Amino acid sequence: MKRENQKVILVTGKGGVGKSAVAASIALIEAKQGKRVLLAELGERGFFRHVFPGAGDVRPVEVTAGVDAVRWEPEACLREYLLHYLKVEKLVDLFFSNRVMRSFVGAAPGLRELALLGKITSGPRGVGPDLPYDVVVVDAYATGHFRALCMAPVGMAAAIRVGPMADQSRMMTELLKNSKNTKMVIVTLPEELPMNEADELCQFVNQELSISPAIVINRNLPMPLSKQELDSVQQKLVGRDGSMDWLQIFANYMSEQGGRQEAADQRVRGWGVQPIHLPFYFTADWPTLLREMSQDLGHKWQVG
Amino acid sequence: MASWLDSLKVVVCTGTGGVGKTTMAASIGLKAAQSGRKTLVLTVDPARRLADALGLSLRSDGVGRVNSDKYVLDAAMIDAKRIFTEFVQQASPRPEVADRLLKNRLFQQLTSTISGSQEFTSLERLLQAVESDKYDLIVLDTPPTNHAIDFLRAPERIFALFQDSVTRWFVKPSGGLIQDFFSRGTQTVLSALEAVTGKGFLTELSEFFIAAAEIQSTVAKRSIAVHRLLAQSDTGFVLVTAFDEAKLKEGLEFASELGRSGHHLRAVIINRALPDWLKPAQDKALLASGDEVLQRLVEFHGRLAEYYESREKIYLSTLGRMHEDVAFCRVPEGREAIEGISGLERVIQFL
Ligand SMILES: Nc1ncnc2c1ncn2[C@@H]1O[C@H](COP(=O)(O)OP(=O)(O)OP(=O)(O)O)[C@@H](O)[C@H]1O
Ligand SMILES: Nc1ncnc2c1ncn2[C@@H]1O[C@H](COP(=O)(O)OP(=O)(O)OP(=O)(O)O)[C@@H](O)[C@H]1O
Ligand SMILES: [Mg+2]
Ligand SMILES: [Mg+2]
Repeated sequence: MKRENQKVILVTGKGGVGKSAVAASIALIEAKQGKRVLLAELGERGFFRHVFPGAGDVRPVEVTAGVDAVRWEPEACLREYLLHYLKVEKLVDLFFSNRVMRSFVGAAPGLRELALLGKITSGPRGVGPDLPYDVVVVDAYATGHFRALCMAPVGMAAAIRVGPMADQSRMMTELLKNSKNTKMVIVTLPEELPMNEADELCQFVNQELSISPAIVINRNLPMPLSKQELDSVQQKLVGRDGSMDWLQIFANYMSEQGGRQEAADQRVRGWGVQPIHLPFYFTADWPTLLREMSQDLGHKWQVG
Repeated sequence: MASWLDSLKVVVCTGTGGVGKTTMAASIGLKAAQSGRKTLVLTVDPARRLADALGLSLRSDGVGRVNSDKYVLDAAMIDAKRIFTEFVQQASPRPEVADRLLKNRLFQQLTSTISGSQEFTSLERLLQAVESDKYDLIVLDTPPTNHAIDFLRAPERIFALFQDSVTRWFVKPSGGLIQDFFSRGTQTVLSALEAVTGKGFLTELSEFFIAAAEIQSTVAKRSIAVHRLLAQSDTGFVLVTAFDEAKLKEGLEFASELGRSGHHLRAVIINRALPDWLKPAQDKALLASGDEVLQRLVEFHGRLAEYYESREKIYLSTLGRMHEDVAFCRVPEGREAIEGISGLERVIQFL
């Protein structure tokens, strides 16, 4: 395949909303459609090692048919970037063994994010080592840090303006904005805080990067009773003896939850986006969760 | 009854994103305040979560007091940019030095990117609060990180940037750039960097370090003070975690890493555990009541209860692997988001 056709899918959202589950499900769906998929996570320590045996390595490891998992570390990405330019391994070694440079690389503003985003976008930009995948799914950072990730090249280009790094930075931003290659997925829950974060982030990427992300509302309780049925049950339970308190509380909870789920749906529609709903799965077991989620999401998921 | 909280003067509330750190920090603060200790809760949360949780509005300087004549509970929001700026101004020997640093584009990037600087400033703010000696207990709510330990690693990287050996590298005693005097190895590295980044970057970089050199001794002092504070035995870390096997495993890793680095994990809070109203129903007669709609509701309740129960089992099996001097608290899932003092009061009974 031509690397400039590579798709990059960035999955983000508030902490704990299901980013990793959705990212892994998307990877499974794409693989099932016959694509070569890379599922990438970011940082010093991975999460997928708890889910797929063998995952979490800095080199791609096949974790299931058609899906390789990899963990990208900022420093290693920076190393690769430098090697690409300097071409001489020795020189890169010299750079990284220099104490000053090491501390600088550790704390330099935005440099770590820039290195990661450089790697994420390296396929279609045609820079650096070959990434032989049709689709790269990134289990990206949570909202705040994700913003920093997206804006790192903008900040860098503003700070230095001329030279190869400034040019590279501008290319990264261009690629992020290019909907042919890049797709952004914001995962949220039918709860106020995750919805607020999704709202802010959605506006932010709209304004700063002209991106219209897909919105996944995760963990919707499948309602066993219709609204009217719930109302009638609630009425029936009022004034019953104390032994029914738990059911009354539960009925109230279900009715409030139904309201929250509807409100979340309406709110996302208000942003001009058709939300993708995922149900709550009654399991704490990751293989089961991923099997069911990728099946449900598969029906609703379409890349470009 | 003595609780894990009584012996602590500082509590650092850690955990991955969205697990309930801010809510728990506010609850811990309220609990301590109600037991008669003057308490401050510090948060970096930009979404004013803490203020909402405590049901109060913060003054423009980011500080607020919970309205009560029975206890003292203050809340403060950490404005990372302001703390960083003030820090530089106070640490600079002359105003021009502060100006130079604050105008440097790389420095501006440093203070505006989230990673690292938020952690740095919250620790600086914590230190200031401890030094003010106004409180018996200070609770620090930490920003969302991928992994709980990142909170401790990020500021170290910033401290390292201001290290003497680093800044000296760029600066000659009279204050100018000593590129001419660089060793050959260093010259090679510098020209390599220049080739990759372009000249502008290197100029910004050396200006940054020349200015940074002037505040380096203060940064070093603060860094040592922060390290000492965090390692003190009356500074306790609290890990808030979700009810998920993988996350619990990460919690165990965090606990052992904290121990290795000389910090003290005092409590693990398992949040969103099985709530009372989801406990398996005793009343099976309902299922036979003949009311089909009611039956469907009872069955659904049973499914959800089973789910929470299976997670509870995971929790119990993981619990056995934790150290004994760590307190365990489980806070049940509420029916709705936790807001205001009354919401927090429901939480503190579980701490
Ligand atoms: N639709 C769902 N139904 C039930 N449980 C779910 C669902 N989606 C995710 N979960 C569970 O929610 C928890 C959080 O999911 P996940 O780890 O994917 O979130 P995350 O956003 O990646 O979290 P973090 O911010 O910590 O990386 C996990 O325990 C997962 O099993
Ligand atoms: N036990 C609980 N029952 C019900 N809701 C809860 C519970 N704990 C926390 N919440 C709710 O979950 C949401 C997230 O909590 P909180 O903001 O404290 O998380 P956080 O870890 O500080 O998140 P972040 O990492 O984004 O700062 C809030 O709306 C809070 O009210
Ligand atoms: Mg995750
Ligand atoms: Mg918070």
